[in-house]
Amino acid sequence: MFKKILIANRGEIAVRIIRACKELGIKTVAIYSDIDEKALHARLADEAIPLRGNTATETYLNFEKILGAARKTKADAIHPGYGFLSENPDFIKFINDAGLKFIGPSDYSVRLMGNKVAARELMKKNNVPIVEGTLEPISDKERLLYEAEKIGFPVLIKAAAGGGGKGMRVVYSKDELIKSFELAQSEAEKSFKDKSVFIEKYILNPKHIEVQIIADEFGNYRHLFERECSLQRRYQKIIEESPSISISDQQREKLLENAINAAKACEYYNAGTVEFLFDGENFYFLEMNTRVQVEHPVTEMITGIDIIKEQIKIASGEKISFDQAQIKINGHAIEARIYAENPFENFIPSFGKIKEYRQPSGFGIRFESGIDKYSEIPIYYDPILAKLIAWGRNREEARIRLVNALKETIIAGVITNIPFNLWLLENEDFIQNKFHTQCINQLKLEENDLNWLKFNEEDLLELSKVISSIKFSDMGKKTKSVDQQPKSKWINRRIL
Amino acid sequence: MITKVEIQNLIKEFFIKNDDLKDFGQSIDIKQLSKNYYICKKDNQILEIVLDKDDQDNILLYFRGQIFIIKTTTILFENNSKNLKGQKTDILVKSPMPGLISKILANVGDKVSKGMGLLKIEAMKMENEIKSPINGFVESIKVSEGVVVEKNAILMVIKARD
Repeated sequence: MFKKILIANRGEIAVRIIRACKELGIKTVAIYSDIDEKALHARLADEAIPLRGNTATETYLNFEKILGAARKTKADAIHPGYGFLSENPDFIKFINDAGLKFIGPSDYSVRLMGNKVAARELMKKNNVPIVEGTLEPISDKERLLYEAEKIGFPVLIKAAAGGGGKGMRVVYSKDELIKSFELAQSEAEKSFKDKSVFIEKYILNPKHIEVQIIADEFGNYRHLFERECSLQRRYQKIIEESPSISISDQQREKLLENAINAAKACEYYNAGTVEFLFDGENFYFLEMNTRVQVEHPVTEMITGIDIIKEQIKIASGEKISFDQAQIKINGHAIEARIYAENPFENFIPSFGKIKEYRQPSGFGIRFESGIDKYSEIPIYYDPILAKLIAWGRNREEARIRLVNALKETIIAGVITNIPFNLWLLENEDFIQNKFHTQCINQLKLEENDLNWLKFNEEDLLELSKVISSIKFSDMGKKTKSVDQQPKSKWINRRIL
Repeated sequence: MITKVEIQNLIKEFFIKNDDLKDFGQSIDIKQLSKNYYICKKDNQILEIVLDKDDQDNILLYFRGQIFIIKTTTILFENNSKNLKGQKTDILVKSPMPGLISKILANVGDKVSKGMGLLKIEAMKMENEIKSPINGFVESIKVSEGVVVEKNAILMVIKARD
């Protein structure tokens, strides 16, 4: 087993990894940028090494500085968390070549799954279903019509060089096909100076369902069931849950089998997630995330498996600690991501000092936080602050716990998306499980960004009166501190 | 005296008369537990609120997972009937921060609507757009591009329209 692990990350995931290491009796090393000097992760680790600078490139993305910190502290492994360098095959190779162990998959698997075209081909070869479509660009209209009819409408025309939705068109019938094709080509030419386009089946309002995979370096593969993450805003997940109540037992069986096959196809080891789109009947491989996911705690809550500890043990050369048959779904878990972003102003990031802070707690509540009352939220990094996970015997019990816990949470000093999370979780469509990946995008929040808010007029009037009653000259006035009690001496004594 | 309470993120406003507030103040008990944290008790009902101010001098009110962005203005009694009916009044647009006027987006006489950008102020390498607080006409512009202003400096005067 490793003696000391360097965590090449910050925020809540760094804190999460530090805790897992402590449980395993492994020493921890945090790294921090200038502005993160007082960050929670840099306070909880056994050792903390400053990386000069603030931008991600100068700090959490810097190969040399991170390796330098590991050498200085004699760490024998590096855990990358998610984001930053977690899916960078060059970093994996760099760390492993330096004689340290990267806690995660091989650079080979990461490189392979990082190339979307290669990943699609590999999946097709291994009978993992992919969204039907052409694998090479189309330029003539006859071929286009032939392919479109073979696939079946609606189809999606996509720029080969594409990205950001440019040169992308949904075509619902044969009549619109040629016109859309020409428009997509000219848009692609303008944006990317390359007019080649692909065509694939358009999955209308799909659900996002993914499978947690764990594999060791001896070729043993396990799944930890699925998560549903259909509530997304611009491809960013907001609410995640496990298990998915959108699929039947037979569909689940098929899904899990596909996911294991996908992991085997790229010779995967360590923890990973295979993402699928689900159209109500069929699953389509979307991509594989070759790292631990933000939403991994919902899986931990229903299976009892600590995914981070499992990652560390596997990387140190151990076999998976459990058999597939031992893993059962116990209850239901839902996670809400808490971001420092303003839901009233098109989700622009919010930053500043935390002024008041209270973590929720209680039965079934888990709060994974990267901050506390002494934190300052910097503008340089991802605005995730914390994750709130609720477990219940069933979905509704978990949902109610999550709602109540969100209402109990206080994170003041920045504007968070908690009001938006509450609106989603208390929405009848969420309760009835009637939502898909496009729901939030279709609300067009950027055009009419407040129509999701509804409040009781009387409550508002009451609050307005309160506001008018409090003299703002009082704000900032410090209350008297309680006299310090003399310390008792038990602290230095053993219990027995 | 009347206090106008605008809940900006809900686009909602309340006018609260001082007299109403007197009764209310007697029925509510407000305790400040820390710099930002207040407990209000009214007829045994508890309201736990956290108050903060943003850099635009708005009040941020955190309450049971909700966040309200609030602006309060005191209206003198003699003017309030006019204000309440939304009659034409001059509104002073003040600078929320010290900074450099980097761009003026409106001209004198322009018809502006609430939320429309009036000018841009550069502070701490960030450009901030100052928006019109009301529907109205630009009555006068008190600054020009390239000028450095103090916090609360009058930038423009907007005449309200219905």
